[in-house]
Amino acid sequence: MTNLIRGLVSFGVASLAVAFLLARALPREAAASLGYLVGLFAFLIGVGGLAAFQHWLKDKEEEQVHGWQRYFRFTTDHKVIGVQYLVTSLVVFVLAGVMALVIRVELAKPGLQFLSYDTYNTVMGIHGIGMIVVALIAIIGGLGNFSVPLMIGTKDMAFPRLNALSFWILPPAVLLLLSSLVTGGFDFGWTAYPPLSVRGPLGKLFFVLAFISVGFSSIFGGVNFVATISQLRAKGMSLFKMPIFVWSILAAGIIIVLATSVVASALLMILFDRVLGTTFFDPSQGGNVLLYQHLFWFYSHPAVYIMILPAFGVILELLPVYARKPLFAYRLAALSFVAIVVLSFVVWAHHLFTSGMWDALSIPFMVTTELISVPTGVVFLSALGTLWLGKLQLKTPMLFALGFLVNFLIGGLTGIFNADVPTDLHLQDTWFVVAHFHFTIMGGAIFAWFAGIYHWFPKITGKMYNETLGKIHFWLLLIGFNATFIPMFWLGTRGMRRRVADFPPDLASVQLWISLVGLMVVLAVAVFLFNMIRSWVKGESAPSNPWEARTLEWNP
Amino acid sequence: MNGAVSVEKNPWDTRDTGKLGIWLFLLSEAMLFGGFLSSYVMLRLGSSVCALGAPAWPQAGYTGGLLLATLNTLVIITSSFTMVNALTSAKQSNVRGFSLNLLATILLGCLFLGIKAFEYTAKVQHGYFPRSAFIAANPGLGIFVSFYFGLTGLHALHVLAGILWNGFLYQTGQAGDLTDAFVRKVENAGLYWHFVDIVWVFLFPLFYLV
Repeated sequence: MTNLIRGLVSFGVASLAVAFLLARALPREAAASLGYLVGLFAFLIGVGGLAAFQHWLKDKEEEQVHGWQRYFRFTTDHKVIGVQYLVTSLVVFVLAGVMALVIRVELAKPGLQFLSYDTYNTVMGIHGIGMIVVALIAIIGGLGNFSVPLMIGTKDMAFPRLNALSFWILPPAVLLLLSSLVTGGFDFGWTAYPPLSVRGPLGKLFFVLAFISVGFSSIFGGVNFVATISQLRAKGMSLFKMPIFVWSILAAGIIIVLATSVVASALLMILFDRVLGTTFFDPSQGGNVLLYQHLFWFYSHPAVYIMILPAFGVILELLPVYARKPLFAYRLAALSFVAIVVLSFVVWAHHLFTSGMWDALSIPFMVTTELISVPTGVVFLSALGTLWLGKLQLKTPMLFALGFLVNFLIGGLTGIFNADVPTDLHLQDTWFVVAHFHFTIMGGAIFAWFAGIYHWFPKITGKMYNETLGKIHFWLLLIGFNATFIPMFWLGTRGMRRRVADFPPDLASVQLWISLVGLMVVLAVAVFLFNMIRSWVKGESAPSNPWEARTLEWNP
Repeated sequence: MNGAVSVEKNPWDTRDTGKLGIWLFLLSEAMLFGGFLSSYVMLRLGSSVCALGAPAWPQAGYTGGLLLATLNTLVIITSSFTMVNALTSAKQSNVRGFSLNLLATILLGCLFLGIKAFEYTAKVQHGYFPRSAFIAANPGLGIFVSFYFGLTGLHALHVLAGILWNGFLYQTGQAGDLTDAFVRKVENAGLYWHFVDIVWVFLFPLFYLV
């Protein structure tokens, strides 16, 4: 605990001191950026990263720390880092969820209740980027770090110190993001389109810096997973003998390595425009704002596969365990992951159908986007084939896996209307899109994350969770989630716009309904957190392999 | 693992995770510069004032940059050569050769940055920087100087990182104990350094010759 507190204090003191000191000599934005950079290093030193760096120079082994204190400091054990990621994801999930609650209170009635238009957009932006970060790190960082090395039979990740570094970059980035609330906020959602993002308050700069930091963390993680999975598998574990979850992490890792730095280039351009006065996005100086959208979506569309591929992996890993059957069409499922990786790089411009992009690009991008439904369909068939004639055991993880299939089917089918140019021209930037991606990311990735947490909970903690509470969590969430988000499709077709804090009175009853049933989701998450904490503290001891799973991590 | 059988293997099958990690990282770096470079090419193709083929700098009346950049190209390519020498010496446990060559690499890197700084100063004095009065009078050039400072600045930061990295290795190598693990570190630093060199080889023609 002392390490974490030392880190946080060093971060606060160093960044503020440097920023205010430099603000005398430099423009505000430059001083704040340098202050954050110094603060980030101070934080890493504070949590104990300096020793790891010196050990790296001198090729010394890292000494392993024991006891609960190790969760609050720079440690290299992949299992500890996995838990750190899981808990951090939960914290950010709750914080961003509170933002969603604020949004729902504001939207319970037409007219403005207690937020201004700009504050509403900042709150919505923090909810958005917070949940994006959760979806990016929860399964890969949490479950991946914990399980992948065990599943392929190696002692640790390829680069344990880098692994710790990529986790410890996150807390300062999240703090910076939250501090934008008191520095003017950012009213551009999570996408930071220029020209809105290149002018305006300091909060926008904080968003850009936090985004770049998370990008660094993500790249380090991706490099680490690809290196680990391709080099450190146990003897005899060929590619097509790897558990399907490991395949999904490998596929997501490849996307991370190839795509993330492209969005970094876009955000660096915004940073340069703000801090150094360059004119990348100033049309009067030969700049181009569409350029940003291309670079941004070149990463941010593949990024949804960084979120959903590991979710597929969890689901296909769990279904055979709870259906007591081998995975159906394992090889094809693995190959369709590869196909998704390849296709994910040629679909980005479907986000630009209404942006004023060259029209001739629309149809090719529509076709490539819809092509992705082929490998995705193979994954679905693999899941259904596994269930077919299986002896289904409806434990909580299995319920979440089945819930995933229902939600993701709705998310996938409604995606067709966003990919089709004629329908998208009407649906672009409406709540239909909001509902669609909540069905894929929340109904998909987050449901899979919950499934994975319940499945590996006995492995991680050595305790059993409470099955009844788990089932209550599932049914509350499934019903609450669907009741909340299905009406949003309808609102979208009626012209309800994203990013607007107000709406016409004739939509009021549906909006009020959404605000009320949204509380079911809150209740579900509360039950989940209660179950997790209580079971970890005083749950009964779990047997070494409670699900009779056959992957290596369950070997006693 | 048995170290004795590690002769003449397929370079992609070395179980040298460090090297694979560096390659993956460089792949990511290539995409970073790729994002910038392709944006630069696309925007210049679409600009009438500084389109590819229309020589933006000479037209605007200042050509000193080309000479300095050519010199810098020589400097950085030479530094790649000394880096290779340093690695070879390290492999032969030749501490003196390793130290001298690595020191030369570091100094050439510093020379590169020095020339770059001199070039930046000259450009700023001539008004070649974003939002200067000169650029305001030639608005199409704004995007050119933005990319020029953005990309060469980003590259200079990479050179600086390489200098630091080599500096750490130089310091550690002074102890005179060139173990296998250390040689691998030199090789990894070398891969990074050559990558930074290659990026410059792309920047040079795109900013000074077309």
